[in-house]
Amino acid sequence: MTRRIVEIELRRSAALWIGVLAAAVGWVMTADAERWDGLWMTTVLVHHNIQWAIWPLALAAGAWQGRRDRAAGMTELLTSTPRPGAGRMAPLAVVVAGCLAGGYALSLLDGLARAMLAASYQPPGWYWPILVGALGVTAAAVLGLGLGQLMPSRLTAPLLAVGALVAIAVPQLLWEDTGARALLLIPGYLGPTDDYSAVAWRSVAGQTAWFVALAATGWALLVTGTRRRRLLAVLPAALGLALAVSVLPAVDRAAPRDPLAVELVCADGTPRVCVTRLYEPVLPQLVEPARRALATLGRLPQPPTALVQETGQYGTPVEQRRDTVHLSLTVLGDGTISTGAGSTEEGILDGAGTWKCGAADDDADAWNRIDAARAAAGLWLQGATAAPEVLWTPVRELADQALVTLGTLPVEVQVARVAAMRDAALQCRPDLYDVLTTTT
Amino acid sequence: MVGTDKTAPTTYAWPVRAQELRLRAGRHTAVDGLDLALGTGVHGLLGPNGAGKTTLIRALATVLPPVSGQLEIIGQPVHGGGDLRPVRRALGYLPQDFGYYRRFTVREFVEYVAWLKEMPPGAVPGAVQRAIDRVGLTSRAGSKMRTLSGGMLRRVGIAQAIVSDPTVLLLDEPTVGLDPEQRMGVRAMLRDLGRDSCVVVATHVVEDVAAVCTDVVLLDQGRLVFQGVPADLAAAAATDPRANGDSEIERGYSVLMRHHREQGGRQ
Repeated sequence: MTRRIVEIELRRSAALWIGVLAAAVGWVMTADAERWDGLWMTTVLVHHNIQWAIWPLALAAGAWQGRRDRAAGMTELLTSTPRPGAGRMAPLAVVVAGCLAGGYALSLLDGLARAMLAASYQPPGWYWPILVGALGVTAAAVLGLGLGQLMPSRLTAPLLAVGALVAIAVPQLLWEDTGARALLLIPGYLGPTDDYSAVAWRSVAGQTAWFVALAATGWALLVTGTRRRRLLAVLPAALGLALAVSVLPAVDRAAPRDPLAVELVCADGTPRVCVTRLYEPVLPQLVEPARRALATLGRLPQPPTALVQETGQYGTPVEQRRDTVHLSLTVLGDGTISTGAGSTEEGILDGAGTWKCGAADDDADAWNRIDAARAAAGLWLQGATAAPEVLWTPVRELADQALVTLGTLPVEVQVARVAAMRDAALQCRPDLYDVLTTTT
Repeated sequence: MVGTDKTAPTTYAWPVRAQELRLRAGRHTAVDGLDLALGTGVHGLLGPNGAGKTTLIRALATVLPPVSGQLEIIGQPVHGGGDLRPVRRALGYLPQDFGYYRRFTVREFVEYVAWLKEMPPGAVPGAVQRAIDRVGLTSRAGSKMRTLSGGMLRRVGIAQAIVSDPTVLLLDEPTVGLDPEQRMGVRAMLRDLGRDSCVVVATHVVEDVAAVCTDVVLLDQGRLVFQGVPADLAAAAATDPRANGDSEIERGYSVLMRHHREQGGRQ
């Protein structure tokens, strides 16, 4: 019989449509044509993060359904029936929360299928962020039902949606820098993440405790009639908050790197060409141009003899080995690799096989000179005499000047200059352009 | 389950029994010191607006807790709170303001109420069909509630109240919005139901009382003015030449009310 009631609620409440809406919104927000499908965990984490939008939606949808009894004037009749509040509300709660959580989870179906087809590396525990996210949406729906029942005004749902958005956005704007672990109570928030991130079990446990507690509070509000018991409904949320805060890790450890994902995988043969396990599917694309570039770099004294994908953040200083090219590798949405503006080989030769670093983020002039020196070194190695049109004008002009300057020098001096620039770049020094163009 | 309830010997003398019952509607005392015992049959609750009819029905429906006094439904005290579920299983209730879920069909709505009444699942489909047939909505069973007219909604209200074959059936203004033919149908149904359950009908319509009630309860300002068979009410008309009204029952009603008020609302 209860199954029949669930069927009726499913057919007659707005739950199914709201579930479809959640799935559509989730799909649109998770999909990114420019992201490589093989970034399995990144897709999952983006999907986890869109809770910032789905959570308020679920809260409002729950509240709208929760006011139904009062809006319909059914309270009088319902009070006279024997079925207790919990039993009576269960089918509606199951239907509303189930449709929303199901819609949210299903919105990842496309991304997940793409990841499975494109990736060879399956991150361990990749499903946890999805499960915790679905639990969060469930909690929002049940809490919404409870609050809607408590305050059966038409305004409750929109106000709750706005309130939830504010509660999600404002702490992130104001206190993100503090790294307070309480930030991890925000639905969808896992601190800073990158392609290699996995989710710490403490994050999963803490967020689970928090969402279960919120759902319990919502449920208590939904099924208890008396004012005193409703006050007690705050208890689960308070307990869950305390438990969650004691379990949650520091924000910068909420989503640490997966050590398996960053392990290097190398192509057969020499010279050695390696990428992280995460990028293994694109290794075949890289091997040929990488070995050609390494051969070209052989003109320099003490040249690099291997190429390795660098996992450090682009543009930040990393510890570089002289005998290894630290490559910044990106995979485009269509699955092809990109190492910079031109071909893969050009990208590797940029900076004579060094990592781009040396200036502060916002110091555009310093970056222009660094970029120009790196471009000029790469062009010189390829025997070019002018920078390609695609380069940004100030950089192109500087690079052209550097090439002209180099061209006036004897060949062995040219080699020495480029080698010196390479030395400077290995140390992330900012004066690459001067090293390349000025006689010392 | 319903079957055993029906065949089991009753352990109470009156399905509804009130002693010194005091009820409040908001801050205002709506029923004051009422003694009442209702047996099997159709009881018409009559009285002017504000007499306390709806307040009394709400208390009988266990929605409004009494301020003081005693109230027993099917032999179970309901004035002290406690577990009301056995009592509520035996109740059918049509509130004065009958709310409903607009998107539900008639059948779904009556099924929903049957589920709320904790009827045995196997008995529900048959009981729902019978209730819908009885109020003459068979052809509209699949219609959404929001497409129904006022009279149809009132009949759905009656259908949901009778679906569980209640021992105590409480109907607040069941014939509002019904056309004469439908009204006659409802009267016939009430007569039928009154054979083995306690039906309490609050109404303004004196003819309804004359036509179907086995017992009349006259209330004014929260106090009992008269309780007896309709014939006694009609007979009261002859006791006072100032009686007015179009029928004997109406004249009896007006006489009893006037006497009651002349005595300052005291019996």
